[in-house]
Amino acid sequence: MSPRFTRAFPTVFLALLASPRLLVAAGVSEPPPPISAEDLRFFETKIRPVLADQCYRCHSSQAEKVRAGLRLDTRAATLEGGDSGPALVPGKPDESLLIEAIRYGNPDLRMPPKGGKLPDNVVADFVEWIRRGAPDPRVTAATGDSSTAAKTAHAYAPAKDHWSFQPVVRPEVPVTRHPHWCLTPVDNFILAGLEAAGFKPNPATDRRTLLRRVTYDLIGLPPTEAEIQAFLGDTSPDAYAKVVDRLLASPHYGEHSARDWLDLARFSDTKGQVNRREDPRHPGAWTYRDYVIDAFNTDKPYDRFITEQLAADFLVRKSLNRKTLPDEKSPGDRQVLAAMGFLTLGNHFDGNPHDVINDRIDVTSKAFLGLTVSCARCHDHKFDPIPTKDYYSLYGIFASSTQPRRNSELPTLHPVADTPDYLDYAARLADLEARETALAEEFKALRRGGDVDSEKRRELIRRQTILQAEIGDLEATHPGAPPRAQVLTDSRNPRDFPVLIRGEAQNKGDVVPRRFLEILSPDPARRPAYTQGSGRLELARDIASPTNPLTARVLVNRVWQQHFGEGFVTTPDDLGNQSAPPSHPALLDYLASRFVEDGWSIKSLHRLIVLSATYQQAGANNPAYSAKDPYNRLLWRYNLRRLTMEEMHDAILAIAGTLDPVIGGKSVLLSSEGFATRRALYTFIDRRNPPDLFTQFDFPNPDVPSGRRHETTVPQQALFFMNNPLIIETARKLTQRPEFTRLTRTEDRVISLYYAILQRPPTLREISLATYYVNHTPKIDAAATPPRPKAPATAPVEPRLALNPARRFAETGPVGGAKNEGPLDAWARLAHALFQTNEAAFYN
Amino acid sequence: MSDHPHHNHPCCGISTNPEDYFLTRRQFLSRVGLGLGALGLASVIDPLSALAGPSAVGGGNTLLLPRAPHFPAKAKAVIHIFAQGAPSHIDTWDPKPALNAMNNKTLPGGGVAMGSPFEFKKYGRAGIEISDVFAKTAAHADDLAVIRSMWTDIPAHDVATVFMNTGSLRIAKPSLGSWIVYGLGTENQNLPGFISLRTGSLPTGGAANYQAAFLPGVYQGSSVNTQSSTVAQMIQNIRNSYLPPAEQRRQLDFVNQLNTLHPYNIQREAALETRLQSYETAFRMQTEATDAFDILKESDTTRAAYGNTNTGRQLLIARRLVERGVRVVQIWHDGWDHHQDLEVKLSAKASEIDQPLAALLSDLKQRGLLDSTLVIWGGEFGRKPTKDRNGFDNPGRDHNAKAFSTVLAGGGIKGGVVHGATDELGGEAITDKVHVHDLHATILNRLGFDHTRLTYRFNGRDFRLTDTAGEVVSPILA
Repeated sequence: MSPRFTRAFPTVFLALLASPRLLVAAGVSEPPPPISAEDLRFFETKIRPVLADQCYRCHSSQAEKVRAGLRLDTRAATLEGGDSGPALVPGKPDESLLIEAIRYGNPDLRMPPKGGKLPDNVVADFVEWIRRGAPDPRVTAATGDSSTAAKTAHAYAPAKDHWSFQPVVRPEVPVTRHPHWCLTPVDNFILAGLEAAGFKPNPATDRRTLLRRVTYDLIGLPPTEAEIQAFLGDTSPDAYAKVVDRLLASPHYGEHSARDWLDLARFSDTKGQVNRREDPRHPGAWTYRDYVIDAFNTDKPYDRFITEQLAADFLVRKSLNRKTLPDEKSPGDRQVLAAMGFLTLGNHFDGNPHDVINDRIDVTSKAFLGLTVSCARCHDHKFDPIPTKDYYSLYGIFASSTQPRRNSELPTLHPVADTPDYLDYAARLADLEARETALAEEFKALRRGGDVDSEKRRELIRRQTILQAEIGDLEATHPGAPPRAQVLTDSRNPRDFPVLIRGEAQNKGDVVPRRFLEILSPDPARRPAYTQGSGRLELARDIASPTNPLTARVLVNRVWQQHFGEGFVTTPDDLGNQSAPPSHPALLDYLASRFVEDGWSIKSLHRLIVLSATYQQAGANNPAYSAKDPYNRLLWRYNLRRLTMEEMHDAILAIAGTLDPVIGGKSVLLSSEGFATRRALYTFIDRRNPPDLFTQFDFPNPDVPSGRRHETTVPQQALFFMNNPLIIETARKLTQRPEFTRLTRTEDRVISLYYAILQRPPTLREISLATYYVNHTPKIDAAATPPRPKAPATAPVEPRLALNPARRFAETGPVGGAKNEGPLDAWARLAHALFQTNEAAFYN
Repeated sequence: MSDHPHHNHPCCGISTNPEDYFLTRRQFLSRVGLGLGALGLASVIDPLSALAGPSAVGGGNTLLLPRAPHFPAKAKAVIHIFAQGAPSHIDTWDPKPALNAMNNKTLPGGGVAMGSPFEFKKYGRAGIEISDVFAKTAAHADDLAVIRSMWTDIPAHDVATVFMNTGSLRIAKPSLGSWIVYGLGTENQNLPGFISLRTGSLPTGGAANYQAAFLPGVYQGSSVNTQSSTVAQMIQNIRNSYLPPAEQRRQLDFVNQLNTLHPYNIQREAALETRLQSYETAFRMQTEATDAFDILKESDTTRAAYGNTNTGRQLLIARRLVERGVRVVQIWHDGWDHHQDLEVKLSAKASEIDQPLAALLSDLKQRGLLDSTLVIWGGEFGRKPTKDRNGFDNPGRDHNAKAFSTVLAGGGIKGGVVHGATDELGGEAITDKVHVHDLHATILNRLGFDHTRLTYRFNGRDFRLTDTAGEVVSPILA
């Protein structure tokens, strides 16, 4: 990639809408002057849409006849003006013809000529834009064509030139002035950028810091003291590479990676707004979570990972064609079906099918393609070349797919053996389902009789709600309930659907074929319609195609973000026209092409990144550099990273030795002991009421696919660490382990706690401060300790309330079931203090 | 510190002089006190910039600092009393003599007319007609603006409730309170800016009613169960049950000392400072929140005026919170879904809120807070003029999205005003209709915002509370 790009400072990165490569492609030699991010936003949101809507029809290269010789579709043409002279004078709205025209003050010059004066706020926006100097990123113009069809196509022409829609071409690895610094090709790209800016990278960080960094990064847990000693003692040249391999082989790697993916898959254990009386739980949600963990652990090729999540039913169709009753014991590996939870575990939106389909289109396009296709539900996408027709092409695919109504109709993951537990479960289920059928008959009878006996109807509804809850309880909690895949299958008659104009169901437009998005199709003019059933498999293959310009870039950008805290593109779920340009476009493309060549191996991608010198840099600040590049977009240092809520929780349990290393299984309630022993990703999440604790620590809304979390700091987080019994009791447990209690010297105890909690020895000053703190801890005086609150009595929940889905899983018990176990000695207080330090919450 | 790698080894481009990095404790604390480090804080974002994405590393407290809206605000704070369950407008704020005259007759449009069992009287200089069930609140008629022409989209409780609070039917969007705190910050950094008071279980529609959705989590409403007997039970983790305050202070001082020593800190990282600051705030919050929620600190007279009931306590807490600079207080008053036995149940329900609401208005006025506090009472939709067929001998009314009433007071609202009207039977708003989006636009206007410009960029699009609609209801503005 051109050094011109990498030489620029971050504000310029944000400012350039098109990358230089595209400028060259468009045959334009002069880039527009840099624009601030704010100005760019202003132009894109306030100015461009109005120009396109109101002016382009007569004043652009798409116009059938350009009026008054004036074109307003590029910056240059606008400045050059038409028959009456320049359309505007930057900085001087009152001297600009454009403003005179849209103000409607001059009867001979009123624009737009039809439809009346633009709203005052729009006129004000144009005045403001010109006052700012008319910042304008537009360089390429649509070429004219008189046919109507071509005009529609060209409405998107500039948008289509966007860098991320262009094929990935593997760039040359740049030559740098300091090749000895480079450990993997990643470094050549980064160093080239630094050198162009006159920067030097930081030196390598110390080994202890590096181990802590890479361990948190890859498995979400801190290194143990033994691991630290082993690494410090290993002087072989590949010592670090061995550590990386060890971490990538750890089953905790899959758990850690899965959490990011679950954010993206808007994963939750409940259905949100349920359809009528259905039980609000997704009883088998955890099978999808475990599938994701396993996929990362086995380094499932990413193209396969995509295909399974969208179309696993096609891959094991044979076993699905037969009825899949719970007592069926069909052989074969059907575990892969669990992948489809990606599509099915969303909100049920009161059973509104349009919203359910929209959710599936949204999660598919954001997660895999970094595109906001759901914006095209009611109108053509405002910024990206996604016409509404494309949305309804995908709509047809998902509308041609269906889900079994009953949980018991879902396929089991394994053949089921006749264990006593299973037989008990099956008997209870049969009973409940018989009651369900009988109840359905009663409903029918009520309707047949035209009976308006509403008391009776209310009674039936109440019984049905209770019955559904009982079935839900059985499926979710019975030990004999077999794990089931949350599948989607093709409906009996897959077909194409019409566009719903403005997204309104009763307002049908043209029927559109089920097929892939135009902008991502290799030959848009000849896009094949999907013919195999719903078309999900074909969709999956088009997404997971090596020639798809977005799929690999989006994934690489996500993995980069995982390691540096910030991706090349800072909006990981949107690489479209509204995203800021990548910081290192060439490196992004290099990694994307390597990723595909390496068989879509995510673990190989991790290796390429974490083995680089870039990744191994020290995190030290440099005031001179940070003045020029405050966001460290050039990567002259390693970024300071804050632990997520899950990482913090898991780390504290791991440090105290109370973490249960078992992988997978049913979700655990926040108020259960499970939360005090299992990794946080196993917590039961009700999408209607995510636990406050999670929300306070930036857990994303489980109704929205999220590739990146906010990172906020609020006092409620501090209160959790300061006061919550789970944290304090875990600190106490750390000081009750024999390896601690057998130490007698104060200094040894301080050192031991530092190793455990911060993975380093304390400095002399820290030892003396800690000793002072411990020695000056007042004698435990029960009278001075505030009275321990009684465990809040969990009031018996009224059955009626409990059936309200919004309130069903509201947890009131203490976090992790932890309660105050009595006065704390000085050492527990010290351990608790160390848990609260910044160092425990960050790595660098 | 001698073992820290950056101190003894010269690093390229990096100062190795600890003086460049080290802050004295006094400097440190003074900066913490300032709220914002006096640094070129790379990670502090402009919260109103639409490009401000999730990169708010450590910006949490900055995000809550008070800031100016688009134009001078009339109201600084909002108390939103949510009468959940869809109160009947016909029996409260919207008298329908024509309907009373038709009582028990079959209406042309179907259904049997149900006149209101309650008397309406004229109140205040403007002579606003208000039902007896709100007689005490009605004494404040000259401070009230009654919108009688509200309408919404879907007459289902949970959807409509969330819609009234977020302007969105199904897609997760930020709540009104979250938008307000996002726009204005909050006045008291020791308390959450947006507090939702509930009694017992979560509200219909769940946390969506006070969620931040895609806005940063700092804008989420903090949900507090005021039914709990102690503040410790109301607010998670507000008390340390192990250490007396002095000993906790000693622990926190020790933690601060370690933090200032720590090598990351001497590199002056904004995220680390923000976290330090949040601990100090949390420590103060333990006292401040306890105090704010402790209504025993009020005089007997005041408590008696609000009434010793759940609702009375909630409204009194709300006043204490607003007084302390909390920006938005949402209060859940559930149970207005009167399909049956309306006469008894509605009057009982109204009597729970009438006296406390009247007391709140008096109290705010007396303290000079009413002018700057926007008080809103209303539900998610209204009810039909006909008898609910399910009511039998004890009639009630069924759901109606086409008409309901919302009442506003204080905070730049013109008093003694009735806005809009329903048809003569009360079935549908017909004059000067006000949609939920319009109400939202009006509320934001009083807080100093042009609702079309209070936006947040998410996934490539600027979102706003009023979606693509909303018109300010100018006639009720003072």
